[in-house]
Amino acid sequence: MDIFQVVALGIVASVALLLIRKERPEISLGLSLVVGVMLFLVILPRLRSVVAVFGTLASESGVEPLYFGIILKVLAISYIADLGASICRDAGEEMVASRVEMAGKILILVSALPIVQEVLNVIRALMS
Amino acid sequence: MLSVDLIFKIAGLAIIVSVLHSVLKQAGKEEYAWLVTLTGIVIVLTLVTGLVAEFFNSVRSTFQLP
Repeated sequence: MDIFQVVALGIVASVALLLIRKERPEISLGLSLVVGVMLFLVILPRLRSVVAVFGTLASESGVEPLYFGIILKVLAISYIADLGASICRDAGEEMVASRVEMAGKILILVSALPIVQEVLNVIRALMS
Repeated sequence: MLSVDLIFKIAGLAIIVSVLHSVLKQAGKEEYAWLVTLTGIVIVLTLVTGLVAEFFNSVRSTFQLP
């Protein structure tokens, strides 16, 4: 069971962080980044099987593979941007964190542009 | 993949660095204390970068990104 692993890791890391946060806040930032990445790495293989199932579903239902790729890309961008923004916010850099989030949103918008174009084309075809 | 010893390694490093820092500060060597802190941060950053690179690669392969 992965949940035991995750919870144990979280508890151990919290105790260690509590120990060093007051003395060495800069090293505790690195430690919290390591813990966040590790928890993500524990859960990523599960996510991989979910992505595989949805991929077969999408290809069976005839969705264009390009669109499924865009959805995966948006998911990856949002996860990574969230991780980076949380680390920046942890360090007390609110401004950097919000810029990271803004960059993530803009990159998601850019990746979603083909879908927006397709929707507009459909609407135009319906109107005429 | 999951290694708790990295957490303990970083926590131990932080404790050693803070002990060295306070000892050097007591001895009146402020500049050496600062250097010890800097070295600790650099070591932690090198440990962290490897893990983050592995993380990025595994996200890339999970979401089938180029």
